[in-house]
Amino acid sequence: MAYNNAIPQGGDRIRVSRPQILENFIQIKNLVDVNHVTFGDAAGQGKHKFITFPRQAVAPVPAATEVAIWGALGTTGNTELFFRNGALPSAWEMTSANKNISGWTMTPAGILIKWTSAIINSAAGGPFDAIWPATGTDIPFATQLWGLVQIGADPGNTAKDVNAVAYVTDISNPAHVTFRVWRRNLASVPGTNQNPFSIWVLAFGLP
Amino acid sequence: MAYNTNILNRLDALEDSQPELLANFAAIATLLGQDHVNFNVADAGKHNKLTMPEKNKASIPNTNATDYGMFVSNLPLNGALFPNILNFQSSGTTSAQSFPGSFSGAHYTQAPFIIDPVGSMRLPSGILIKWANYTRFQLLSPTDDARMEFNWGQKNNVEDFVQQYWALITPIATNGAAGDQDNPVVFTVYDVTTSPYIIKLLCFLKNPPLGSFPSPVKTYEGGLFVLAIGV
Repeated sequence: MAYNNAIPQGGDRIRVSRPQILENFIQIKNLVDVNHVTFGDAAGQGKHKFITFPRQAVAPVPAATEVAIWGALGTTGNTELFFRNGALPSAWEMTSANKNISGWTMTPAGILIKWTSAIINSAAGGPFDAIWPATGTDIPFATQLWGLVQIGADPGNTAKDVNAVAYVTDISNPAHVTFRVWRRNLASVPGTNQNPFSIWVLAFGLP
Repeated sequence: MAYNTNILNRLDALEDSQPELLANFAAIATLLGQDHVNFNVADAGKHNKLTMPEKNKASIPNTNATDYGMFVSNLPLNGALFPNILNFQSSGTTSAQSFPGSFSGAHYTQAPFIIDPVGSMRLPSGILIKWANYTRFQLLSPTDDARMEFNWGQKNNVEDFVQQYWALITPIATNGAAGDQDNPVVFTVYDVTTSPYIIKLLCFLKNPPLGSFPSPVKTYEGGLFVLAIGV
């Protein structure tokens, strides 16, 4: 029997209503026992011992003074937690991430953090674009707020002094961080080329 | 009277059932009054807050393939125990990502490094961010091979990487021994993935005359910042 909110009806006899009412009480307890501390539990009846978020097909729209958290299909292909502040126009998936050498993570604040590493083979000083990989699951920046590029070592000869410094010149294109390279060669003559070298890139932005 | 699902027996008179029915309705309202917006007001059924008692779970609850879970448990970490840690659990798994927040780090000495402080922060996505602020870093032994290894080690109140993805190390010029601020050191990372505990790096010291290569290290006192991302 299922929960029935259409009983008892006027004219129903008690012998008819009795099992219906009893079943409703059983169903109420069954529902409460999912995720909640049950009736009469001294640990705090009504509190949440576990919160299960079934995947929602339609996103809730909280009022301007509310927030909402729900489960929905994320960029990862799994159910992720979404968050929406009712005072803001859009929601974001706050638990999604691509956990890889080139990866990204969302944060509860809605900030997107991306990182990657790459090898620069060019002998020139740039500008170069450190392009965010689009492989696997990806949330592209809509707006890139902050970027950093650091020179690493020569990936084929880690004992070599690459004598180079990277400096970011442009983050306005959310698809990449643009940077230049200044090289100091062994004789301290700027511009002499040494390559290849690694770069380590980190950026913050909005999805 | 407590909530009772064994009422309204077949032979019960209504006068016997009436108080039991009343008690059940009262118990429902009492339970829902915890955390939930109660009956007969706007927003009934919504959540005022989520109070999550820690249950000392012996095992992580399962989630169905399309569910997402959240719960609270104690977090044993490197010999310490942290209570009431929020856990985020991906769908269709029995594993959870603990969300203990950041720690200020313990003070300890590992020659030649003095680490103060070291911390970590795990995001709900499961990504772990770690940082270290070495206030005193010494290069003691002249060597032609300036390759070094930074080792996070294991500290009681800082989470360990299972896998490290990305790292950055930058020097801090200090007012240490004379000439240190005139002899900047450059760190270049070349491997972070071989071990979750180790960052492999080169250390180059600007050492007169300009252009010495590889720059033989001499005693250097400074500091460094470390930032790393992993899981």
